[in-house]
Amino acid sequence: MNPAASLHDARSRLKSILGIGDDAQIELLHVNFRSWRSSLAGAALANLMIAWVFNLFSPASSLWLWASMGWVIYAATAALFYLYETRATSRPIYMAWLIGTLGSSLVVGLLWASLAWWLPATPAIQLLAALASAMITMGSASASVSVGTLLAVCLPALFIVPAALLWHADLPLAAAVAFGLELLIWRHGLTLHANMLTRIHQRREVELLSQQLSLKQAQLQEAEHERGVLGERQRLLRDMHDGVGASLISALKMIELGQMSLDEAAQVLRECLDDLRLVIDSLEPIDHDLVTLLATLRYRLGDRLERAGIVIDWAMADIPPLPWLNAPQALEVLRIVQEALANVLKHSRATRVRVSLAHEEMPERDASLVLRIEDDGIGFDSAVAASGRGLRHMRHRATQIGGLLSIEAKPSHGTRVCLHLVRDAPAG
Amino acid sequence: MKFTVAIVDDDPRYRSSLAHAVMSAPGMTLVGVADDLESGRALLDSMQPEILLVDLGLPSGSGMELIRHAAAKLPACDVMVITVFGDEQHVIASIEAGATGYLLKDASNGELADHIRALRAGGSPISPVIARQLLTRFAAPAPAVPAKDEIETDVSQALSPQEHKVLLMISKGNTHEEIAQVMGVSRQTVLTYVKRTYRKLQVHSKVEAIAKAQRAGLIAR
Repeated sequence: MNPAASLHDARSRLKSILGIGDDAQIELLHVNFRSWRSSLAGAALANLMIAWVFNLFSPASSLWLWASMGWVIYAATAALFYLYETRATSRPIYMAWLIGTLGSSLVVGLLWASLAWWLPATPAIQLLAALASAMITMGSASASVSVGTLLAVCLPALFIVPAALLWHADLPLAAAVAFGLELLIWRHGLTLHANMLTRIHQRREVELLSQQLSLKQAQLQEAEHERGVLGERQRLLRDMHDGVGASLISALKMIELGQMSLDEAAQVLRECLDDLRLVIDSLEPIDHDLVTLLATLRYRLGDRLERAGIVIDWAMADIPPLPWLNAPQALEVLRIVQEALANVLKHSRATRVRVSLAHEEMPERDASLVLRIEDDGIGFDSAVAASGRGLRHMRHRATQIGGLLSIEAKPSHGTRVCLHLVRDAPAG
Repeated sequence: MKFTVAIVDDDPRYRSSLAHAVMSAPGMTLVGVADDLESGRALLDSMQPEILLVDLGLPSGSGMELIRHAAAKLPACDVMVITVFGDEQHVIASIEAGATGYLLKDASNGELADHIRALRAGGSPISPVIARQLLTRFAAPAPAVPAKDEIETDVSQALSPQEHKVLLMISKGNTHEEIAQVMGVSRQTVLTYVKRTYRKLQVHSKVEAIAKAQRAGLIAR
């Protein structure tokens, strides 16, 4: 490994020990910083309690001096944090917290570890003092924000507490036990710290994964949408090709050959325009509403029928939105009804046409609708006309949308076209 | 008293046929034609017509800008959009910009004149799909508890029961005559209800746009 790389390696290891190695560690610093008031207040109160309790056993002015040193350190740390919190908004707050915690941890660690040295060398008091130090170390270790602060708190306790027991109180066995205890506390602190970091890492990973997941979902939706658009485009292209396109080309050929009159040409153009209108109407936002869809046909063709002296009787039941009625199905419905109305206009010699939409109970189906176009015209022999191209197309369109078309006609008794539609089931 | 009409359309053949229809119709005078956005604007400013017939697809920019110009500068001017299909998307956007009518391009000369006269008399045309769309727009939930000074604008934005009924019946395919009969009013009154809903949609969309901009922090509250 080259020197630059190993330097870099050492730096990142140091950063990780200090608690600023990665985002998860910095997040931990931030979380801890939020509670600096309560942790410092807690430590100051612990100082007070310990000094008080030991003063009961063996009054010594040095104890209060010891406690006061603690309070001065806590107050200084609090002032530092307060300043950073209120003023240094442009600087990353965790650096202040890091320096403050490291410094105060070290001083407090030294102070607490040295408690026994401030007290008389009576075995009971010395053992109690060692226990108190161990408990405080334990508390601080549990709340450590980095390996660095953990070291600052535990290292003094690890050596100074056994040293006091050994040389100040002359209790070698107790010193050995205390050393072992402090080692355990140190280990415990390390484990806790590692656990906290792992939890943060895991949470971040989950967040990242869920972000990726929603991104994937959005991409999938986008792809689905594009597929839908592509399918729709193909459908419309096919429609233009077979419908308007074919009509225009055959009309053009006939005009070029001089086989079509101006009137006939105008008629073809009108029909093409009508068909384009149907396509456009089928694409309009009608929210699966069959009544509005049919209304567009009346809006387009009503005047034409009235000019031909045909009165329209429009009777629409209230029906719920039809889930299957999308643009392709809407176009089939429009074409069927337009064909029926065009037949009325061209062949029936009717004076009245009734267009009605009603609910209909059918034994073999759950719920269905029937759309009737009835005229009072001359009718026709349905046995003969049933084989006609127009009617065959209408029937075919009806099956395309899961419906059924029936035509009843008798000479001089009018014509009735019935389109039975399902209400809920999707078109087959 | 004849009223004045201006035409802005870039298709020369259609423009001249429309101009011919307007000129030959009694009761209206053609005061000018233009073929793009700039000359259209100049025509509006100089002649101040009472009716503007405008195509949306102009070579130098959208006719939509001309509609906004007319709505802002000439409050007395009724704008009609010229459209081939009267499709919801174009018509609604034009109404939001300030138009109150539209002309289908394939209407006969007689129909054209009738439509222009009807608009001048205060009535607007409407298709079932557009009626349905308007109902959906206005059904959008109003702010839960409007502040006191907002109540008035809020009421003026909501549809009146008559307007609602007219839109509903049109969306179901009823003709103006049928609606007039059911409601016991004249056909012309039905058309004025439609025009009023158009005006409300224009205000509605303006308010919505302002609210949207406020939410996005573009405009101070």
